[in-house]
Amino acid sequence: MNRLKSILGHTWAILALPIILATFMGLDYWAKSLAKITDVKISPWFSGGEIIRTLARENYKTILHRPVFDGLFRKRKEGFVQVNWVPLGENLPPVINEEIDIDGDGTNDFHIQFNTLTNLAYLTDHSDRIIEIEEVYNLGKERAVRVRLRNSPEI
Amino acid sequence: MSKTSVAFKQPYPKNSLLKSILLVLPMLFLTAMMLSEGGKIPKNPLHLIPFVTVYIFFNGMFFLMIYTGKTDRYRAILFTTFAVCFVISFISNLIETRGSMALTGEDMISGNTPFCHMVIPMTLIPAALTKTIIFPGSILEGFANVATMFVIWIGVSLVLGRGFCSWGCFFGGLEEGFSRLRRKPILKHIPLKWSYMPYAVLAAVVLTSTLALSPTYCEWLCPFKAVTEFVEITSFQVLVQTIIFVSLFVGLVIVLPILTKRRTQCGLLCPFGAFQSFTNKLNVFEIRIDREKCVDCMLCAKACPTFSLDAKSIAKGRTRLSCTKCGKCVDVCPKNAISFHIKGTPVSSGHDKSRLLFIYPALIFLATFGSGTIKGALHRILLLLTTGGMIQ
Amino acid sequence: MQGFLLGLTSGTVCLTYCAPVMVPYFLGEGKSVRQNISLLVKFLVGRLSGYLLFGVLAWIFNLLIGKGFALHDLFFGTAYIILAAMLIIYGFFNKRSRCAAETLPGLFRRLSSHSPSLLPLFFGLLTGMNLCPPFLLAFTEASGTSSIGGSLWFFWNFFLGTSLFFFPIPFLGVLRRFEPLQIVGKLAAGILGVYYLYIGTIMTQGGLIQL
Repeated sequence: MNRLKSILGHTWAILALPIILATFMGLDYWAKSLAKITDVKISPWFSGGEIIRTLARENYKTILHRPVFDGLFRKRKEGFVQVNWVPLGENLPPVINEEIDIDGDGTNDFHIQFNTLTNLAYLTDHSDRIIEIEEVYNLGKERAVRVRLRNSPEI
Repeated sequence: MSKTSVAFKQPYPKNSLLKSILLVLPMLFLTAMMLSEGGKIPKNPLHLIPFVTVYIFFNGMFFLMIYTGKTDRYRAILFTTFAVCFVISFISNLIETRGSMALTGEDMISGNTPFCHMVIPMTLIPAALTKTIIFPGSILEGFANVATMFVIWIGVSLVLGRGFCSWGCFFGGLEEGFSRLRRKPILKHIPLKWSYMPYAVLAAVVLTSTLALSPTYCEWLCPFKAVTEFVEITSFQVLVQTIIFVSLFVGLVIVLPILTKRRTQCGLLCPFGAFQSFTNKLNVFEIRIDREKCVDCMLCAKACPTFSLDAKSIAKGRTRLSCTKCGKCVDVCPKNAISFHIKGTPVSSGHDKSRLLFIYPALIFLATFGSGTIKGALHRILLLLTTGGMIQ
Repeated sequence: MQGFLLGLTSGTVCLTYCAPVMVPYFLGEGKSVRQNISLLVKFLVGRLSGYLLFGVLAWIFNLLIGKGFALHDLFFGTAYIILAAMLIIYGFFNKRSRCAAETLPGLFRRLSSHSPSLLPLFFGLLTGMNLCPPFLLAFTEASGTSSIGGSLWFFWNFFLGTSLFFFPIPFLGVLRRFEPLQIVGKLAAGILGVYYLYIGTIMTQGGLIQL
């Protein structure tokens, strides 16, 4: 028994070096495999959530993400929705006026007026789900805004 | 046991020059392969000089480890150099790409935040329950993405256990450096109960992160934001968080290590270290004490930088779970009673072999993990010397 | 969330301080796993009853304080600060607390001879009403909820947090490593105290501004 333990111990200790080498030499492969097996994503509280709709406009496109209320076991009472604007040409227009329908029910939930030069945004809510603008983001040529929402059964 | 009767001896029989060279040869080959990433030797002198310097540096320190039989002294030189170079390289890179060290909301929603190993314990339960990583990074893209860092963590945990904290953590190296500035400690006694603090912090941050779906240690406590990146101060809450992390950095990373000659952040706060301690249970390497040789002089306990030795553990012939396998106790023991050990093998024999089997993968890990950073820092220093600025 | 967290930090200490008192009743000779489970269930029912009773008391307390918003924030903010300070001292500095059950040895002797089946229930009730800082903070938090349902829910979560550590007892017996768990639990309580100190300061500041 002691001899077996000693053999196993030595074997494992000898394997330590190949394991380290394999870790680094196959790093890309292991990383992709791990990502595929676990199928994890970055939390939507950071990434903004999956894109649900892309709306083509004259010189830019509006990207609407899904509303984020993700909790540990159930949805939270408050969350946000992220809207991105991506220029199709060089730059975004100086002012963007956008009506946003979060859940695609044909009724606009809020209106955003975004000044891309000053990065100031103004919100007009059409629904009691809308709370306020959480944050405005300047992503180089792109812009984004997160609007705080109250959770409702329809979303 | 009288203090005056203890005399210093070599931890291991010193190897002959020829034997040392023969033992280093495989390392020369392996580091050449790993540092060059399969044979890509840079031609530009500003990159070639750092490459050659790093290669000689790592192999030189390894040779000295083998030749002198001392582990900790040379490990500490490598480890501290890595940490200092990490700070130089990381900060320069941030300023080059972002213009400042401040982490903005834009960086976070773009997934541009490099994934730090300290976050790992906080991400596991949310990942298991929600299949999401609660960190503003990227799964597969960019520098230090989530998947890559997890793979490295899994590999090093299997091989070194909490040895990562002494052979890989670029934060621990800072405290390592500060803890060696004085010859003798001013504060000699820290009550042992505080060495359980990392576990309490781990429990608190894992639970709060799980419930908040946000890495609370990073937001509220991590002292190393002082030398990496931190959230832009745009609110009172962020101001409080900034005061906390700056205070913790100054206190636990600079001041207390100088006063105590211990790694106080690692031993008294770091939740990742506490978490990594549990990997010591799985790891095959450990530090053991031969009770027949031990005279209970407690020099090892006084020397241990992470409070991993006390009278109880020494009596059992073991370190506490928090041992980072730095080798300091091994080097300090006057009776050669402490050694690197392979689980399952006899404690009283095979010390040299066990040590060699440990320091080989440990040094390869440090060289591979750290060389890019050290090369990067040296490159920045060369840029400074040749162009007057570190930023391109 | 806070209820569960407070319960967890309270639970480790409850278990490690009270286990030496409870163990003879739970793990006496000849007791099977099934018997121990039955004892544990009675014990936990006693604890839950105590906590829910306090949940009701917390709600009544909230009604008495009234809903004047500025005073509400000021009162609770100050309470949080005081209790947070106690929690920090309790977590980081306090040497020893006694298990509440130790304070009434005479009563236990009488119960064990006359009504032994009530003993675990009574044990649970008494250990649940140990007025340690995590419990007091839980009471204060629950008092701040707007409904009796909220207050009871808070104490239910607190109960869950404290009980987590008791579930393995019938199967694993006495937890071997009391002392490290005890120390970690208390330090975690101290950390939570720092958090409540921050919350209390913000609330008090808010209350003062509104005054």
